[in-house]
Amino acid sequence: MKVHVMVATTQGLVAIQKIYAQDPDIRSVVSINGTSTVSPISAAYHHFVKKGVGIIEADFGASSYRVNIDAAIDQGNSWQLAFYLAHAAHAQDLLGNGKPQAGDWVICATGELNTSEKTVLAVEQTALKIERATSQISQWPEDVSLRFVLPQANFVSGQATQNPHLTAQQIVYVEYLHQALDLLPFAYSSTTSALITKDLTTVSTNNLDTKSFALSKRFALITALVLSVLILVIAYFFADNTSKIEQGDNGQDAGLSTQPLTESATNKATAFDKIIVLSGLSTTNASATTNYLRLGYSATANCKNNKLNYQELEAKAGTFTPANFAQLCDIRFVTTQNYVAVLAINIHSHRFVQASQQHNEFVIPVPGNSASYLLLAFNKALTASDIRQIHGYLFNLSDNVILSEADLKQLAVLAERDYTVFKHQLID
Amino acid sequence: MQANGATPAEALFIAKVAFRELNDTSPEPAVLYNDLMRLVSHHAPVNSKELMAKINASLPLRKQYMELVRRQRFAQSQALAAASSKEEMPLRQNQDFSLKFKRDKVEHSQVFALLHITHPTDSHSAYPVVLNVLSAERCERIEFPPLIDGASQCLFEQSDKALQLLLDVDAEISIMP
Repeated sequence: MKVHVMVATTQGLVAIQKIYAQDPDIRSVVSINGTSTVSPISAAYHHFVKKGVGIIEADFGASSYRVNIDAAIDQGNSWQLAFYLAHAAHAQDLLGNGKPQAGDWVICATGELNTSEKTVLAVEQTALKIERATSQISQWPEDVSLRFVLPQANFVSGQATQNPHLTAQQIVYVEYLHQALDLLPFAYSSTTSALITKDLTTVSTNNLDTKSFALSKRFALITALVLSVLILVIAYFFADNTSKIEQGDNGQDAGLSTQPLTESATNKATAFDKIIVLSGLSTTNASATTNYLRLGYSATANCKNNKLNYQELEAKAGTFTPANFAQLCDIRFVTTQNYVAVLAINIHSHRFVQASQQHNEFVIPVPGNSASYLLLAFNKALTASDIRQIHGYLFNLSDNVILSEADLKQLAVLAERDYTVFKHQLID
Repeated sequence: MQANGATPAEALFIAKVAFRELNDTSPEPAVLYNDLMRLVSHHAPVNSKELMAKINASLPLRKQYMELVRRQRFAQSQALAAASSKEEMPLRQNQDFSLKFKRDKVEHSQVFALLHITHPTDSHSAYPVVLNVLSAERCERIEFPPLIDGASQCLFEQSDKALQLLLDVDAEISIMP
């Protein structure tokens, strides 16, 4: 399922085909059909992205983007709402190419943004924009989920009746940006849950069918809560077993944390694509002067309920000796230095996790496959904003980029920080 | 006729070129001194492509155009030294401006030309920035969008002749005021 975002213009719908981040020294640009023809709104888009003036860099991380659209947009700012929604979809890796298929979502939007208040401002000729969208909408499969998003300030009663291809509930008026985000088919940021509790009038349509739309969101939230509780229960039982294994293996009862080990043995399938907070075990045998990796191997292919044999690798010139991936169940970065945060970044997939700290250990989830990764050890804690910027940078790297220390230096948030890089490779 | 502070010999040359242009019966547009002045600046006539084609086909016009560029320019970069010629996309950099090139990460056949002017004039931020490129074979004017924060950029296809000119290490690049 993809989310296709269209800009509603007086010339018809303009599809956003692709978004990707660029090097910071290239200014943000809007190009037509991926060619070198640049849209006249490029300069305005550059400001829309730029931190301090615009909001894209602040909300999505990278300081420069290229957006490919399928037709020219010559002037005005009514593209801003659609572009923002496209960035939100892109950040979730859901942005489509502007050619809706059965089951896809389509958001058609027009609206200018007040980037400081994050409100949606009125635009002109909304009726004409809806009318001009008709021919394109009629060509899409019938089961696409369509929303036509307009500024609340442009509210016109019975607007949908003027267009046979739009039902009343498909036309949605929004006053605030987070209301528009809530229309996307994923729980974006923390605003979604906040929105669900709000009165239905905050996202107004010209039809009472909005109520069923909001109810379906409530259902989704309840389902998510039930699933979360279920996962926590499973994790608790599993962690209990793992602790027993560790105790039996090392006889370190006194040094063991009372917190459950939630992921270390179960994280084999954990993808490096989200921040996972883990609990770890304290270690008493760390060397006084070295940083090393402590790898726990199972005697069998199954990590569960098996005794782990530990191997310790010292860092030489910032690089740990490559280790076998097979039957690896546990990775810990052990240090006596005053690191307070450790990130593990897969140099090929660019996915990353933040390891949790337990005394002088940082527990790193075991990747699903053999991997080469960088460990970034920070002397100061990372803020949510730092993590978001790092995520934005890594997410937008081209797939063919093999991440190096030099690449990381391009990221402003890292350039300002004191950190040490370690390299390690898990091989089959 | 005293054009742009020219010497009498130069003025005579300009007058001869103008006389020949006005008496030219070919369907191509006549290129007069005023057209040349407009072409080297950001006030290019609508038919600037045709005019540039004619200038490149006429040695006297080309000579006159190059002379005007050299007199009017705001900053310039001479042909690069041989040491730089091994670079795939050579950087132009001096105290007045820099011009560097970056290939698009996804559309590998497209190249960004990134222009930065150290101390730009007001018109560089209000009007397109004109680069005149003088190579052994031809002269060409290339417009960059008005500067934002002292910088501007153009996106070219790799095969674009304008890009090839900008990449020509033997070309002389002039930025007009």
